Amino acid sequence: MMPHLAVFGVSFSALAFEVLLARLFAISQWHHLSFMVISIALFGFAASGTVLSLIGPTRPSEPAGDLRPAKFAVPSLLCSASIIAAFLGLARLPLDYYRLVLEPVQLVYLLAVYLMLILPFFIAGWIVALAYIANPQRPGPIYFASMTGSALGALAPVALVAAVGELAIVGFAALVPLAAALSGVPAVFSRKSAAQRRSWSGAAFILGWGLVCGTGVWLLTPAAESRLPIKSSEYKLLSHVLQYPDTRAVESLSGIRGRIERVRSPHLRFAPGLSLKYTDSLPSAEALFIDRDQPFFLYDLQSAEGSGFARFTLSFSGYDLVGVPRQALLIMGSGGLAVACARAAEARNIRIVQPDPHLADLVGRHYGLEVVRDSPRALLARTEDAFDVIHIESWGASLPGADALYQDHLLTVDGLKQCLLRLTPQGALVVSRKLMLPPSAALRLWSTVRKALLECGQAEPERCIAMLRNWDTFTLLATRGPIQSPQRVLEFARRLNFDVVYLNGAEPSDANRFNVFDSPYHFDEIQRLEKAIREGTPEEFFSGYLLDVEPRTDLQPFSGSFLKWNRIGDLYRSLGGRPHTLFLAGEIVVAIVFVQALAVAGALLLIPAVAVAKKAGAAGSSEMVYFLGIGAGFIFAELLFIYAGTFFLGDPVVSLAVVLTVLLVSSGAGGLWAQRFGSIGIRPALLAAAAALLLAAATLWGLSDRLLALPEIWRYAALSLSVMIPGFAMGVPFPLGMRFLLQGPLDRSLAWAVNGCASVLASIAAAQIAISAGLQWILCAALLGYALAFWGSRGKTGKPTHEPRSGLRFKPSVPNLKPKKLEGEESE
Amino acid sequence: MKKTTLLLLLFLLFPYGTPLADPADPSAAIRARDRMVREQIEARGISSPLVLDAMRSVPRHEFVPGDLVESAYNDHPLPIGEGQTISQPYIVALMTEALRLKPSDRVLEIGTGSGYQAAVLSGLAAQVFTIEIKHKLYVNSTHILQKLNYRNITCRPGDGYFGWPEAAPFDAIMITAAVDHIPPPLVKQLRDGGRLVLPLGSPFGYQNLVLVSKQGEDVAVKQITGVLFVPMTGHAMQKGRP
Repeated sequence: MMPHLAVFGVSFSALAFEVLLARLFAISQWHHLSFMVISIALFGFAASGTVLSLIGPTRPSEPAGDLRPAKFAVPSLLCSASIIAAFLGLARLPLDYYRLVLEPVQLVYLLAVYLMLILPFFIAGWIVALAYIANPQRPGPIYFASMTGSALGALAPVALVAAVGELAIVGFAALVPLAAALSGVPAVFSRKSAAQRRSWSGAAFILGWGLVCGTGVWLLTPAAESRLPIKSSEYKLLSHVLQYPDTRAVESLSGIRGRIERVRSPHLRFAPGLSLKYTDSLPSAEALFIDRDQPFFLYDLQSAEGSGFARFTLSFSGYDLVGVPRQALLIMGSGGLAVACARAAEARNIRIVQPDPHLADLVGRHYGLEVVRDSPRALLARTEDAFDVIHIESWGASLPGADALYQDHLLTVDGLKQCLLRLTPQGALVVSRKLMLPPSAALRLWSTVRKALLECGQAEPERCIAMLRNWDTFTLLATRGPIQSPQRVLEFARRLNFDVVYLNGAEPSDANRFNVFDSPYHFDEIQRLEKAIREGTPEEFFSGYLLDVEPRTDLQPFSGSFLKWNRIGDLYRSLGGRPHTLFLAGEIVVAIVFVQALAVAGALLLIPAVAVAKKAGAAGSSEMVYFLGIGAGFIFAELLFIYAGTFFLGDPVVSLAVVLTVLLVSSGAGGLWAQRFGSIGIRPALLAAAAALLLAAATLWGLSDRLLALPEIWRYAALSLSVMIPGFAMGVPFPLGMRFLLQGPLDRSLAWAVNGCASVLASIAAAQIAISAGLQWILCAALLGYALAFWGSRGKTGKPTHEPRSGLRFKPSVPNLKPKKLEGEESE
Repeated sequence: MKKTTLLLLLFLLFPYGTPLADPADPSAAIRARDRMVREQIEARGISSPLVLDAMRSVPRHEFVPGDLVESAYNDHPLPIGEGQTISQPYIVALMTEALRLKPSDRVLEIGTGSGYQAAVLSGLAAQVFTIEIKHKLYVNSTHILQKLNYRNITCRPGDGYFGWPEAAPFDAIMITAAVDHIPPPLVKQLRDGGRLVLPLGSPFGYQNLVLVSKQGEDVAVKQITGVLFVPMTGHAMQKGRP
């Protein structure tokens, strides 16, 4: 029972801490740093296998096969302590991602963070590996304990963070392993000799347990929250704003989708795309900062200034084209200008869609408007309503390049097609974004909406598109049929000193008249692309262009990713030869992390490979390939489901929680089943896992339109069911391998290290594959992983191996079950 | 000592420019500034002698935190605390040159920051008015500017959105704070024939500048990219050819 309890406890804590770290980094820094740090920290699991393979699970003075409760109780206590220590260290260290590229000392801080965060995962991995070593013929229950603990650990932050806050989750994560550690206490008091009872180790254990428990409980209290506030990078937008005079945060709401802070200040103004012809004041506004960065502005539209200013913004061009909209649908990731535009246009019915419940509530109450709390794609899939204006407003993160890793299913061909199909015949789709150089987002958006129009059956899509810009923003307009009055769009632009990026029939002189570039870059590039399309050579344009601006689809939904690896030298020169600008790109961060991970994995695998190569009983390379394959395959599959879940549920963190919970519980059940029915053999199990995965992926994507149209609860159910079956099948190979392929503690330690390294490398590689190639290739990578495992299991019958001479038995602490003392062994 | 050694070692990985070997040595600072102007500014096409002189004369290292003094003359922006950065030297020069200042000009700067830009402007204009909304930055920059004896700079704390009506109109306005639109009050306070400049993008990735010029009722907006954006689009898009 002891190892199972310990395994459950540390698995819970490790996952809860991992999910929480992602939240903490999102609030204090940016997602880049979260990705970077957590990816490397997870090597702690693999490192535990490496160290175990080098030093063995028992000391030389201890009898082989002797694993006392202390072997699990003490590390459980250390796991708890290390979580608290890591969190406290992280809170104190002045690591700032924004300064990473320019301040060498930040690299030292980053290294310190890696080391601090690796420790809890190392200890957790140590305990789990030890449990497998102690139970060579019964890995199934260990696997089940590990998976279910992890599943609950993934779910706990989602379920609790809104109620208790992020800090309390750290407390929970730290307290749970203490239950297993507590079971080691009787061992202290059950010692027979007075000398042993007087030993300092017992007292230290109890004292340590008390200290850690006390700190963990303290972290649950509001007092801890006030003593240990989460500090943000001073370069995050909220950090700037809070330095303004008469500015304060009046409300803070934690949620798994993000922390929202409501700020009041007389100095908040937001009017992107505002014409220089506007000379009056702007209305006052409050701001809701999401994870202390992306602001959502709530205007005081009842004030004298009202919404009049919005008539002078680029975004209003769509409303001007339509006239007075009867129905307007506003989709705002950040910003909030769309509400002012809709009000200024006197739209009769304004509906806002917002997946974050806190944000939905705050916006709805402020404006007294209907806010639908759901994913925009899901709403568009199931609503029967038609809209005169659908306004998509998303200005992106303040850190340039941070959007590269953002999974956006709205600005894909499929997403825009859905928007277009929900427009009235005279309606307009309005998309407002930042203008970049070299032309990127504007070019991609044009080509994406053009393709969407073609798929809607529009034979002349170019006549349905208009795009205007000022000096740093652009707005795209798209209609279901040809724009009836392009002259109206042109007059709007001329009246307010905006330039045309694209409009059928517009003159080049309209392209660079008021906001003058050295050259009308955006206009020119879209003209070039249009010409290439007319000549039947769009692929040439896309392949020859400096950036990747091809339309995005639901299978490759990263609309903020533009990097082409084979043009990185040209891009560097194009940006003026300044390396620090390149390092902000999300794609480059992923690549750097992958290289780092390769180096770490190499060290963790080569060291034991060299040290133990000649030891008797060491498993061959094919067994290690097996564990490499199933480790990679499992993680690729997991991430595929998470990406799919983000599409169906509208949020990556919610998707992560749901997928992990279902996948891990079901794979744990698979592991238990494998314990009982393991004679099916390893190769059939691998084939079953691959087949189940393929079937689930095909079902999900094949039925995606129908599933998306389901109410939210049914989407959760459908996703869970899709994950459960392959999850069960994928839970079988690992315990079967542990049981039938490996000979002894050394094998199991090495297999644990290999499996851990494969998992981390696969998770990083999955991000790059998703961005560069598409989600379907993650499925291929998962299948490849299982194919590799299939190859690694060649020649293996899957029957139980000969019980090793030094077979380990777990020795319980209850005195009357103590086995016969071995020679030289001291009494307990 | 160990930290210095480590920093020096790490600096070998970041050969960005002209580290200042010994900040206490005035001649080293002068040499570093000369090299900065020559290699980072003049070499990139900034040609105004007045601007180049101003960049040579202002001791940039005085405006950065102590632990970053060695990097003061490097070819990149630097964090100076309070979420602020001091711009890359080339950006400062480009923005200054874009204003085409005359010795009689009155300049308004929105966002004093470190005070460095104001110091550079003061060498070219008659009077510089600079506003900073963040109190700590205002105090620091005021102290440095007074210490260095810049007499034609007037600092004040406050919200620069509304400009400085009492001192208006201005011949030139420079906005160094992040904005998503050009504040209408500032355009009103710009003299006829005046120029307003602001940078675009994040402080670590400024790519281009916006220049607003006012002629009567007409207000024109122009992008200045300098060498910050080398157009590799269209027919220029052949590998290796800018």
